[in-house]
Amino acid sequence: MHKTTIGTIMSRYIVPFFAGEDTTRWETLKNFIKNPNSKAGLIMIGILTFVAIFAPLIAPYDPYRQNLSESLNPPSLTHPFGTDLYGRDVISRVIYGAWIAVKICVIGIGIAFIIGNLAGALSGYYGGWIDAIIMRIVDSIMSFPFLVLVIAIMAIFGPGLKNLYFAIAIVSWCQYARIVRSKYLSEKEEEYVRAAKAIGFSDTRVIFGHLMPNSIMPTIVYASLDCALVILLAASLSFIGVGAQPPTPEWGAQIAEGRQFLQVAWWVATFPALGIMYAVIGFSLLGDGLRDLLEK
Amino acid sequence: MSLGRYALRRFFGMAPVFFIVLFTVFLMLHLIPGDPAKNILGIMATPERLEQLRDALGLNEPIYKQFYLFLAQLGHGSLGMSIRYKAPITELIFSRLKVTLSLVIMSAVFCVIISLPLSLWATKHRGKAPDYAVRVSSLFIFSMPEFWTGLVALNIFALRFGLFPTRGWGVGLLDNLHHLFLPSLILGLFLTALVTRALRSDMLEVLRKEYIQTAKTYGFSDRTIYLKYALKNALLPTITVLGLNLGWLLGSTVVIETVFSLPGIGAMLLDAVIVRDYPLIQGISLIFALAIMLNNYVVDMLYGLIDPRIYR
Repeated sequence: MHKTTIGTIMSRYIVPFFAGEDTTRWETLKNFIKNPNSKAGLIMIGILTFVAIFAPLIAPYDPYRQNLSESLNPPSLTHPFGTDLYGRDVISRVIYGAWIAVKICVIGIGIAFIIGNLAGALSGYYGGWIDAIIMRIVDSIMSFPFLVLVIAIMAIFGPGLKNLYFAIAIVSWCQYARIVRSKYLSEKEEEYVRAAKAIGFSDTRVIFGHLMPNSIMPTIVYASLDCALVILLAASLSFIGVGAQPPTPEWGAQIAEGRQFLQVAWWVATFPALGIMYAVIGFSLLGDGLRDLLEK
Repeated sequence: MSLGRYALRRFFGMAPVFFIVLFTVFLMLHLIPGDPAKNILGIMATPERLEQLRDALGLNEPIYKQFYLFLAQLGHGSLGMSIRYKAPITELIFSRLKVTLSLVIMSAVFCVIISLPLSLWATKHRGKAPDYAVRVSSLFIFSMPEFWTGLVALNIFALRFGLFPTRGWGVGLLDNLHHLFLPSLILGLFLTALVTRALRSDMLEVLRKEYIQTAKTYGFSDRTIYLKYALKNALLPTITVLGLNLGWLLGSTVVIETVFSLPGIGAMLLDAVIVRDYPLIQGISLIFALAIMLNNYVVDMLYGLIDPRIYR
């Protein structure tokens, strides 16, 4: 990101917040933290990220270590979530699954967020044929069902986590580009942009220093909701066998491994499913809270 | 502008997108790292068989000629031959289209049947227990992965209680509905949660408008106000939610058809991915993309019909 964008965000949001300046922006941040939706979402995602980052310290066992003498043990004090077919500890695998989910969000959505913001900026700022080309590409990518296009990309480049990040990024940048473009179209005519142009600032400076800080919020809201969708999507892909491959402790892959024993050993598939639900609820609450903040 | 002219202009406006979609589908075979023929047949294939497949897929021609041949083939209404099934792809798709189509239509019906009354109920008692219950449960349903709900429903209702068949597609209309009940309900749940939330918030917004106040002062019953005045105006954003998420619904058929072993297009796509039948993957992706483009077009036209201000 351009240095002026970071500078503007710092001086507008971060510094007033910590300095305790009594500005309206600080008020909105306080509202954000007081809003029950976003409060719950922040706490849930905070815990998720903490567990994900410190997975090696928190998980009681190695998620890959097999112990065939303890195959399919029910939940107990030594194994709170039980063990799977190969005697691996389910709680450790669910905890490592959180790390994979966070990685999918940060890498997949992160790339999509950057590409989408840049493409949308180009499209909205310059218009004309640049806009026409970018928007037709966006329209055609969005003509495919999300899941189908990701499956096709995975079929081309082969299954595995790395290709999954890549596939998710290729498909999901479009929505960000659309949001940013429509925001630029209305923002472009504002006084401050005209003033910046009149002073003779370069296009890069107008885009990164003036337009981007004022149009990035809607994409941040969307990114939070997108994380929820992408976690569901990645789990579905791994479940049907084209995403993360066993023995990777991805939640969807774990459910696929446990599906045959749902009647005799419910815990193998149920706890990863609860992990998915937890992450999705957390991100949607956070996204709802952010949206409330934006609409006020 | 009249609705007819709007319809025509919108239709021809889709041409560039249609062309890029075709090109994307065409590229699917050519983006495979290394030699596509080797990728399809595996490393054990003999050089003669590789050469034969390359010829069949037209990989020996220059790339622009291949694209021309691809378009010419489409112009004749053909999508090529499936490598695995050794049959024309159009035939394969059409023989399975009815399963996927009925699944999607039935889940859209479920979605409307469930979400309309629920959201009306929630708006009527806003801020009270029913509203809260609807909001919390829709959040939970939204968060549950479809394949998981599908597995649980399959285990409880089909395996334990024997109320529904566990797999496959039936014979005759009633039997098919019986087979489709559980999969389409599960497929529709995600969308139901989204639509319920959207309709609830749109209804609340419309109910704050002045013409609703006017209707109230006239002394109309709640029933008239909700159904005749508010619902009609709240429906437009709801159609948007339904229309925009048809892609999600179509994509999810891959997962649901796999869980319930339904012989639809989605399950065939997964089959094709596993055996690396790239022409079939291309064909199915193209059909799905066409379905969504058609859907977006129809949704736009519906907009025009419901709210003529859009095209004027």
